[in-house]
Formats: sequence, structure tokens, C-alpha cells
Amino acid sequence: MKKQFLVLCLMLLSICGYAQTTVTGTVTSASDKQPMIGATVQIKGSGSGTITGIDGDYMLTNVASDAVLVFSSIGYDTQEIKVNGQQVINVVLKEATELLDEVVVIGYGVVKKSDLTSSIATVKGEEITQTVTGNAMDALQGKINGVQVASGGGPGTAPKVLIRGVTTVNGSNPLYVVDGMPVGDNINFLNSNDIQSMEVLKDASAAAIYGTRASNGVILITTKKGQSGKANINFTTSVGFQNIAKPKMAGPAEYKEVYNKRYENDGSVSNWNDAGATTNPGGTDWWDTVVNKTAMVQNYSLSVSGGTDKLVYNFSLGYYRNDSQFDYGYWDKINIRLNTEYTFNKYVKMGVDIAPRMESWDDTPNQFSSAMSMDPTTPIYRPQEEWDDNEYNRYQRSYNNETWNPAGSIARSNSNSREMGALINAYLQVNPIQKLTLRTQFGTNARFRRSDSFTPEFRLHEQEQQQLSEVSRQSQEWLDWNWTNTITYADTFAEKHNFNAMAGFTAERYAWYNTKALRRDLPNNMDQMQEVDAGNPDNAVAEGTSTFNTMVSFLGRVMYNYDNKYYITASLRADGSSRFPAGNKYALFPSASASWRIISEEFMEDQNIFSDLKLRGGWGRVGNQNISNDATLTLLSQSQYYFNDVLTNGYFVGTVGNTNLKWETVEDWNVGVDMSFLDNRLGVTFEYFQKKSKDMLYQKQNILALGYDQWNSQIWMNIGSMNAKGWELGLDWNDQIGKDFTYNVALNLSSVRNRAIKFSGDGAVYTGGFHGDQIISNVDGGLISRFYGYVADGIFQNWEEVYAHTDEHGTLVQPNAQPGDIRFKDLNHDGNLDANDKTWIGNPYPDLMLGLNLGFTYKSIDFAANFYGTIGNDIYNKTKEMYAGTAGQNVWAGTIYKAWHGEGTSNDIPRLSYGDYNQNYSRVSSFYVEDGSYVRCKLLQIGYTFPKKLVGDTGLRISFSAQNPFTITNYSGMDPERAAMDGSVIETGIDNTSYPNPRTFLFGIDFKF
Amino acid sequence: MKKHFYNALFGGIFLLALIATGCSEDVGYPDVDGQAPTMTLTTEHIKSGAGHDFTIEGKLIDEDGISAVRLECKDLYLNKTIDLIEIYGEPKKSYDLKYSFALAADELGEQFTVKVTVVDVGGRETSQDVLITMDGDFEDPKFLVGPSNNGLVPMILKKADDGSLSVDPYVMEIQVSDDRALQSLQLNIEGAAGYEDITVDLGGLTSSKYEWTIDLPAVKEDYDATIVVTDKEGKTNTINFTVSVTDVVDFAKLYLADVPKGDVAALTSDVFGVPMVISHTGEYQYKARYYNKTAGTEIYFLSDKANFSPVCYGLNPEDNSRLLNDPNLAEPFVLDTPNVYYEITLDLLMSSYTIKTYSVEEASDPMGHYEYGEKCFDVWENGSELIEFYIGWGGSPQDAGNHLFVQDENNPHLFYYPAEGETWSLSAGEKLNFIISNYHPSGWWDHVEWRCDDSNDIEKFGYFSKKNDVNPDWEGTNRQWSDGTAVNDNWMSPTVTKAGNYRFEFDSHLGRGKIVPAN
Repeated sequence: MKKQFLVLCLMLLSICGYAQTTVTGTVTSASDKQPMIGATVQIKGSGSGTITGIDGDYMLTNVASDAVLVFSSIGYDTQEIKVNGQQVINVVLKEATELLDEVVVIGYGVVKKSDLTSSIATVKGEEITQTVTGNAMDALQGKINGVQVASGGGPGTAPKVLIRGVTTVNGSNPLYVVDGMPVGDNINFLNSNDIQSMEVLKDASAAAIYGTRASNGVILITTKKGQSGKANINFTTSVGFQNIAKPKMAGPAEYKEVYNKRYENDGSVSNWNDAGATTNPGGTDWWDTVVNKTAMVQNYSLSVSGGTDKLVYNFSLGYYRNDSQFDYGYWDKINIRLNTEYTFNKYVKMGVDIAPRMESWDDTPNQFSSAMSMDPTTPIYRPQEEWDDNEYNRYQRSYNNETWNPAGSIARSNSNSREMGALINAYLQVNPIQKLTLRTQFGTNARFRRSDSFTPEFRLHEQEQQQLSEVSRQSQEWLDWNWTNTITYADTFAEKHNFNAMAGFTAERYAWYNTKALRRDLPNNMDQMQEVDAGNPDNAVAEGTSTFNTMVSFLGRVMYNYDNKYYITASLRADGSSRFPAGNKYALFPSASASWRIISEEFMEDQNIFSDLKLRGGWGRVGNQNISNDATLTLLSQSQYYFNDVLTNGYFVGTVGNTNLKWETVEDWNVGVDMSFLDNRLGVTFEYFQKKSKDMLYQKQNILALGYDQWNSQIWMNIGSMNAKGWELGLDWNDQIGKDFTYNVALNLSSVRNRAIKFSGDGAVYTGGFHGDQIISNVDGGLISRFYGYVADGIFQNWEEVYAHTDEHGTLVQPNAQPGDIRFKDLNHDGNLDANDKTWIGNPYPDLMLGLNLGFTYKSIDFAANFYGTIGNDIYNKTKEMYAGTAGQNVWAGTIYKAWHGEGTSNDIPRLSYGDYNQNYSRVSSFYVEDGSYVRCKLLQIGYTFPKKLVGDTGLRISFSAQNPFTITNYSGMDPERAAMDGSVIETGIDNTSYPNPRTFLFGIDFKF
Repeated sequence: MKKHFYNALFGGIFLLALIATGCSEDVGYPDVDGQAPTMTLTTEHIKSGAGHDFTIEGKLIDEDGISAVRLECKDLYLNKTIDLIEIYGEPKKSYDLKYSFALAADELGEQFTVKVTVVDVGGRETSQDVLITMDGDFEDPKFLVGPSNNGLVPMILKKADDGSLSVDPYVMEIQVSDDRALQSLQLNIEGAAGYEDITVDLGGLTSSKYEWTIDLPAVKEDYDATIVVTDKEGKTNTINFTVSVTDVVDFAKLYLADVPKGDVAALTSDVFGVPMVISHTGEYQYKARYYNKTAGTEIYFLSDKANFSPVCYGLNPEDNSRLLNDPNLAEPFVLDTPNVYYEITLDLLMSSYTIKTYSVEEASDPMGHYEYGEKCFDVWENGSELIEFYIGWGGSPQDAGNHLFVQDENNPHLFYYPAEGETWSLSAGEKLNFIISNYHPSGWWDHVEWRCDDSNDIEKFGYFSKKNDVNPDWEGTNRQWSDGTAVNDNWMSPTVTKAGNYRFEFDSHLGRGKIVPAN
């Protein structure tokens, strides 16, 4: 009875609580799709709630149907969800991005992201490690607006990085600063997995605090630090292979036909060597012979981080290796890093970062071009009966052209280096009072590199031989140190006046020691003999030198904002460099920037269009000191000359110094607006910038009458000026569909125009040699690196067209032309094709750069896709000649049909010709210029994170990635991206068949425990 | 309604604006008089010929403005539009047409009609035909046989037993030709009675032969003489020479002829180098050096590059140890040993000579310490010698690689171009311009080079090395002929008179070369 009563009471209770129910569900993390343990689930306003269990599950009873549940966890955005009678509510909590992003590293300090007044972009470490690469900058392609990254394909090749265009000819790469230590312009040595974040200081108002070396922008790299708590162990590995698309080259039959046709079309008799018909009837596929189908890529990283309230640490061990596509050539590196920080008390803490490393590489022989141009009728080896004891003599000399046997070249490749280095940083930080921070940091960056090279003696032909073997060893040592001292005071007055001031002093020294020894004529080619001691001492070469440069700097910065609405920042740096003469050693680099956070204004409270709105603008002056250490010195060089048949040693003025040199400076201003809409789901950033250099350092020719040797009379002077103008537009969309599907789309668009205002005043600067002419002309007032040549106006289809190409008086413009040759425009109508008929025929710098980054997660599956592209850039495609058979080399497949061979057969590819009397191929002309626009898929990655119910506390994620899987382009060469990488900023865009970017396919595993 | 009205009004205005803009761009230039252009050509008939130009000239006028001129002749593959607006940026009211067209050298047609059309900006046209016939006279009359220009014609005095002097009349053979028609021959010996201003009518023939008997007093004297041949178009060709009544002549130059005696064509068919000039070593003293390729070569010594008479030194048939100057009776020097150099000295006054041979190995090497056909002069930094050494030929030292000499297999001093089995075609009137230098594809070296004595009339070659890197034992040293005079920077610039295939032979030991017809 009693029992029955209880049941009845419960039933009544349930009837009375008509709106009461039990709610269950799971809480998972949006970032790793894992159940969240310990997340709080509360009934809003009731004070009751629970926390999630080991599987992220929870159960709440007696929840009113109109109640609101509040899900929260530290580091995650809180979510409120109306119950509305639901009994199962699963929630995905997103990381509190604003919280994570709230602090941004700036030069010599940090600042809240919302307080930024200048143009700084941040990329987190996890975005960088998505792409497996030897240089972290490769992973930035398309992810930061205004940063143009051109990657090269070979192992260990550092990418070319341009931040907001070019304003100097003296180096274009930005300055990299790792944990406050300037490390030069290449971060190959760095393990990508060690990077916590990278901040790109794009405008001068941000970079001016780095003064002299900031004219190309500054990239601040912060490595991972430990956090107090249990040890977190993470092991990441990616293993895969690379592959390069095989170009379609002619086979033996077509090659022979093309070869002979060249003579036939010229009315000459071919000198075709048909030896291959008997010695090598099947021909040789040189690409398959020397280019491996795959090359391994391996990346392993183990890290342990954790600590106590006093001591935190982060230890990592990484190994990366990338093989070349040839049997010779690789690059690997082993990185170790231990970052520690010890807090003595609330006043004092110190830290030591120790990062030793070892890099090894065999220089990759670039034999792609030879593999493409080599005579396919030639066998790899000579007949065996002709072999001798020298294994390098066994290769067959090309029967029909001058290309060196690529298989032999690879077999002889023997050049390798090993570099050991360590980046060590130690700092001491004192906070004598709460708002005052004193910090001193001393860092060293030491590298020791040994490079060995051996060239064997061999002979395949009079013009393909090395008469004397040669062995060399070079030892180089770089020893740099940097001492940084800062004092920072931050305070808030009257609640609304936020103030931060910093002052500092730095001293730096950079040293390089070089020794090289070389001997020739070794007894034989054996491995054991490949030592300098084994060479003939009569031919010995020994050289060595040391160079140093130093800097001292004083710097300061003030940041102020009123009520988090109006921000102003000003900085000043005074740099003194040993590279400049007394009187000009010091220069000042000021900057100022301001922003207005409109969204914080009262009048914005009632609007619901903007989630955030900020205007900002900045101005700054930065410098460049990328010149020789001895530019101010007049130096003598040694030379030899025949006096009455006697070779005599002597000295001459080798370089002419300028004792009036001063700093090259760049002035930059930038305006931008940051907006977000739709509850921060859509972010929009637009910026416009202008940069202008003045007193640009440039080597000007001396007056010849002074009597200096023509080449060496160049003198560094402050005479140049360049500017860059551009804009950036960033669109970022993040959203969620349902509880399981989140996605993001980010589109970056930017454009920059680089213009030379003045070089030396000596006229155009020509670069890019081509058949005794130059491809590129850089003129004062013009865009840089533009191609300058003749305008190809189709192909003469018949004699009428040839004879009609005259001036108004009948003078034949191209007297050597015949049908099938290229018609070049006589722009000045004078009947003579000469330099006056040249014009601008291409610009290698793009009109638009774009990055598109897509990603989604669905339950445990994540997907990422990154695209990068350039639009409107031109490429001077020298491969059109290299594989057109002009000098007897092998040709693109189908050339026999594609080349003009009768009226109407082609209006692009000229006839095959041995003599090329019309100079179809030897003139710099628009015939070679192609649209180099491309959009490349840089990354496709799909990952799966195993649920905790399968792997327990261990985090396990597997992924498959494809890097550079496909490219959308009309460019006919091998790699449109590669052409943008070679050459200086005033000699770019020429395709020389350098090592192209490979496709990479990787399998990755990520353990966390 | 009002709204529709305004819509229609603005739409109409917009349409009109479009049309107006379109018209302006289509027409561009308004009519002035609306008349067709006028054309006044200087001639309607032009005589030309294969391998020659013709030029159409005239005055074109149009008040509206001439936009273009078209010239069309399908048979000549002529289809030219002169777009005056493109060239001058605007139409021309008056235009002086002058348009030349080159007829192909192998053109077979006899006459062509070129249609000239003038188009004005209104599209109105005026056309006129111009007749081109292939009967133009382009060549000067030629001397096929005659004394050398600026040469010497000696008439030797004979002394009788009684001491009296006499001189035999000299019969000068003159052959002339013209591609169209010969008019006359003017003969003049200044100061010689009866030989001044003689005119011979050649009667419109295309070739003619004339024997001019010159009988002068037996008095030692030099006379300036001139022969002028004139064709029907008034084109002329002139030979100036000296008639010297003399005893034995100390010729400034004497030439070695290795062609059959009497084969005048063989003496004149070369571009240069035949016969070969020999060294004048003293008064009446000469020294000839000659590389003998085959046994049995017959040589003579001439004073006139183009004739075997009146001076032709050979062996005296009555006494082979003595010289004889007689175009008819003198016997040849017969060189029996092949692949050796011969050295022959002559003493005209004493009618004596010496002859000897020396081997190729003994022949001095003008390359100094460099070896023919072997390695490059320079050694790379790494000690290797990668570049072969050649003697080159071309438009400049840097272009020398265009024509590489082939080294004679028996004589390393001797080079040829082209190689055996290859042809080298030269066309009539073509002017060559070259030097001889060592070769490197990038033109890095400049060690041994040769220049010549006279760019247009090459007889010998001399060292011209900027690096002074030559064998001082050679006959002439760097930039110096054997007589001590300077070798100037004279490029070889001979003019080819007759189209055909040729071969260049250069003997670096002798400093002699020749371009001769070849198959």
C-alpha cells in the first residue's frame, strides 16, 4: 500500500510538473571533435546544473521545457540553448577565438588584437603545420593578404617572399625575428611544429620599431612555450611522396624528323647522325631515365610540454627530410628545442630557449632541362666494349646535340654540406611594481657549415669532359649575437585612459668566417681519394676571409587609447650601423598610427549591421642596409697581366668606396577598415597602402674618364627611389549548420604596383640576358622588371605577306624572312627592325593575388583546402626556344605538326629552321611572353579524429593530404609559380626550367597523450 | 504617364547619343570636296630585271584626305597597303608615292602589271596600272681581257749589235662585253702621237674583241694610257694603265700563277688571290714561297694579274737554268714534290733563279706556342682546356663561328672553307667583309688575327693581334709586314663579280689566301 502510494505520488508529481523533463546529451569541442570533459551545463537562472563526464555526456533532470541551458568551459565560447521540450541536446563548443587572438605579438611587446592600430596579420602554428614543408613560409601562401610567396621545388629551396611589393633592389625578403632575435632572411632552419604563431608586420607603422632592416616587412615568429599543468605529449608524423608531371617530349622518330626538317627548310643538307638507329633502336626516354617517379617526404615531430607554477617547459624533437627527384640530392634537418621559463617570485622570472639543429644536404642537380633537351636517339651508355676503368667515361655523348648526358651528370654529382647550429636565447624579466616591466634578453645564433665538393675527371667528348678532377672543402661559420633591453610601463588612468610606454636599447653583431681549399688533378676518382690532400699541390687554391657588421639601436614606443575607442601609437628608433661612414652612421625611424573603434561608440549600440567596425591609419619610416659591409671602402684587387709576354702580378682599384653613404629609407602609409557582420560570422578587412623609398642604395657607374676599370668602378650611392602602391581585401566567413557541421571560407585579394622612380639616372637598367640582348628593361618612372622587346605579329603565311611587310617606300622590314617566319612589328615605320621598334611586352608582377582557404568539420571529419593564385602576370617562357629544336635539342612532342609547315598551319609557332635567319628565336619578343596567371590548389587535406570511446584519453587523428595536386593555368611551361621565383626583383618572371613545384601526397598521424 | 514620358525622353536621348558617337567613330573625317583622289605617276612603264628593284613614283592628291595606297601584282606576290593614317596618324591631302620592289633573282616573267590604287577617307578610289618589263640595263660594260687597272704594260727595248735601240710593237688584246649592247671603245695613250683619243664603234654587240697594236718610239719613256668602254645606256668602264717603253723592268709586284699558261679565265675568275703576289726582296730580286699540293704543278711569274703577256717569266727552253720572259716560249717551273713548301728566288736582271723545298714541319708557325686544331689558347681556372681552337670566318670576330675553317689533313697551316662536300654560294655584286681570327663562341679570346693589305684588292695577309701573342720568327711579325710597314686594320672586303660556288683557301704560313670558284 505504501508502495502504491508512492507511485501515485510520483504520478501526481509528474502530472503537476507537466513542463518538467530530463535532458541528456554530449558536449564536444569544435576544434578536435572530441568529447569535452568537465564542461559546465547550467539551467539559466536556476543555479542548478552539472558538469560533463568522461565521454562529454551530461544529464539534467527537472528541466522546465522553456528553460535555457548554458554550456560553458574555459577557453570556449559560452552557448545558450532553449530546451523547448527537447530531451537530447548535443552541443559543440567553439574555442573562444577572440580570447585566443586577443594578444598579438608586436615588436618588443604584445598588444590586444582589438587595440591594433597598424597592419599586422597573424597565423597560428596549426595553420602552418597543415602544410608539410621544409620552410614555414611555404605554408603562408594565400593565407596572409599582401604577402606574395613564390615557392621553389627543390629540396631545401627557400621561398621568395614579398610583403606589399618592392621598394628596393637591395634584397626583397623580409626580416625574420624568432622570439625577439633577428635571424636574417631565411627560416629553413626552423621546425614548423615549434611555431606558436607568426605575425607579419606589413606596414611601416608596425615595422618601424625594427628600423633599419624593416623596409621589406618583418615577420615575428613566436615558438611554443610550456603551460603549467600535466605533461602533454604530442607526436606528429607525415610521410608521403612527391611527384613531378612528366613533360611531353618528342620521341626518337619525331626528333629526327624535326632535326632534318630544320635543314630541309633552309635548303641545307642535314648533318644528322643516325648512329642511334643501330646502337639504340628503341631510343631513350631521358625523363624516365633520370627523373624518379617519386621522391620521399618525411616529417616527424615529438613534443612534451607542461610545468608547474614556477617552471614551465616545452621540449620538441623534429626530423624532416625531402629527397630530390633524382638519384642524387636531398635535404634533411634535425631540430631540438627546449623552451623553459622559471618564475622566481612575483617580481622576477627568467627563461632560456635552446634550439640546436643539424641540417644536411646533397646539392640537387637540376637536370630537368637536360632530360628534356637530350637527343632521344642516344643510348645512356657507350657500347660496353668501349668502357674503360673510369666509370664516368661509360656514358654516351649526345649524337646530335650539345646537351650533356644527364645520366652522366647525375652520376658525377657530388656536392654536399652539413650545417650545425644553435639558436639560444636567455632573458630575465623583472616587475618591480605591477605595471612596470624590465626585460633583458641575450641571444646567439651560431652556425657552422662544412661543404664538400668533388668533380671527377672524365671524358665523353672534347666538349664534354673534365680534364682534371677537382676537390674542395669550404668551412663557414656565422656567429651572431643580439642583446635587447626594454622597459615597459602600462597603466590605466581614470578608467578610460589606457597608456603603454616602452623604451629600449639593443646591440647586435654579425660575423662570418670563411675558409676554402681546393686542389685539382687527383690520382683517381675513388671515394677514398676525395680529399684535398690528394690533389696536386701545384694547383692548390686557398682562400679565406672574415666579415663583421654591428649595430646599436635606441628605441621607444608610446601607445594610448581613450576608453577603448580612440587609439594612437607612436614609435621611434635610432639605429647606428657599422656599414655606414662616420657622420652618417645613425638614422631615425619614426612612426605613428591611430585607430578609431567605431563599434564602441554609443551611436553604434542600436545598430545591428556591424558586429565590429574599426578604422585605422598609420605612417612610418623604415630603412634598409642590405649593402656590402665594405661599401664605404676603396679596395684593391689582385690581377695578372701580360707585360712583354711575361705574366705579371699586380693590383688595381677593385671597388670604389663612397664615404658619404647614408641610409636607404622607405616611407609608408596605410589606411584600413576592419569590419564584421552577422554576429561576427563575416569579417571584412580592406587596406590601402603606399610605400616609397628614397636615397635607395644603388651601384652607379663612375665616370670612365677617372680611369677606373669599367666593371669595378661602380660605386654605392644614395640615388634611387621606388614606390609600391596597392590594396588588400580580406573576406572571412565562419558558420555552423546544425550541430555537427561547421565551415569557414576565407578569400584574400590583393594588388600592388611596383614602380621605379629612379635608379641611377644612367638610363635603363637591363637584366635577363638573352642572345646578346636583354629581356627586361627597368626605366626610371616605369614599372619594374617589365619585358622589353619586339612585338611578334603572327606568322608570315605566304610571300605576299612577306613582301607586304615594308615601310611606305617598300623597304623590306625583314629581308631575311620567308613564309613561316615571325612577323615583327616595325613600330616606327622606318623599314628597319631595330631597337627603336622595341616596346613593353609583358609585366611579371601580377595584377591580382588571391588566396582562398576553405574548411569544414563534420563530426569527426575535418577537411581543408587552400588555393593560391596570381592573375595578370606575364612569364617570359624561354622554354619555347629551349625545346623548339633551334640548336638541335629535343623538342616538345608534336612540334613537327605545331610548327608552321604551310599556309594556315600555324600563326604562333614559326617554321623549323637550322639557321633561323629571321631571328625568330633569338630576338627578345612577345612570341615568348605568355599569361602566367594561375590558381593552384596548395592543399587538400581530410582528417579523421578517432572518438575517445575508441582511444580513451589518447588523441588520435589521421589525415591524408595532397599538396599542389592541381593547377589551373593556360601557361604552357612546366610551372607558372616557379618563374616568379628566380632572379632579383628587377629580373623576375623568366622561365628557365628550374626545379618545378612537385605534387606531394602525404599520410599523417597525430597522437596526443 | 509623366513618368513614361521622361523614360522615353531619356531613352531617346541616350539612343541618339549612341548613334551620334557611333557615326563619329565610323566616319572619323568629314568630306571636303567628296571627289576621288588624283594620281600622277612619273611613268607608266618601268624597265627592270631579275634581281633588280623597280620604283613606282608619283604625286597623289585628295582634298578629303588620302587614307591608304594599295599596290597589287599577284604574279609578283605584291599586295601592299600603305596605311597613311597608321603611319602619320592622320590622312594626307598630298602624298609623294615612292615605293620600291625587289624582283627575285630567279624571276622568269617578262612583264608584270602593278595596279596602284589610292583610297581616300571617304572610301573613294583611283587606280592606275604600271607596266614593269624585264629589259632594264643595270650592268656596266665589262673588260673580259685587257690590261690590269693601274697596271704596267712594259715594252722592252732591244739593243742591236750596233748599239741602236728598237722596240717591238705590242698587240694588246681587248675583249669587252655588256649585258645589253656595247656602244664604243675609247683608246688613249697620252703624249703618243697617233694613239690619242681613238674611238672604236662596237656596233651594239653584246661582246667584242679588239686588237690594239701599239708601236711606240724606241725611247725609254712611260705613257699614261686609258681604255674606256661605253654601252648603249651610256654606262662606262675604264682601265687606267701605264705603257712603259723600257729595258728590263724592276716590277713593283710580281705574281706567281699556278694555272695553265694562256688560261686567262683562270686568272680572273677568282674573287682574289690568283695569281699570288710574291715578295719583292730587292731591285730585280723576288722570292716566292708556295705550298705544292700535287706533283707536277706548273707555275709562271707574271707582272699583270690578268694576263700572261707581255710579261711571263718561266724557264728558258734553251737553258733551263736561266729565266726567260716570253709569253709564248717560256717553259713552266714544274714542282714535282707534293705536300712541301717551295722557295724560289728570281733575279730578273741576271735571268737567274734558285729553287728549294722545305717541309711543312719546318715551315714557321705563325701561331706561336699555340697548336693548330688542338686546344684553346687559354686554360680555364680549373686547369682544363675545353674549347677547341679554330680559325674562323665571319662578319666579326665574334661571328667567326659562323664559318669554321677546315684544316688540311696534310698541312696544318692550310685551312679551307667550306669543307669537302659542302658548297658556299656567293652572288654577283655581293660584298664580303671579314677578318680571320681564332674562334670562341663567346668571343672571349683575341690572340691571332689577320688583316689584309687592301680591303678591296686583297693580295696578302698580315698579323693583327691585339694581344701581341704571335710567333716573332714568322716572316712578318705582329702588325708588321715583312718590309717593316704597318699592317693596318683592313678588313677583307672583296666584291664578288660573278655568282657561283666558291672556296676559300688560307695559308697561315704564307700569309696568302684566295677565293676561287669551286663546284
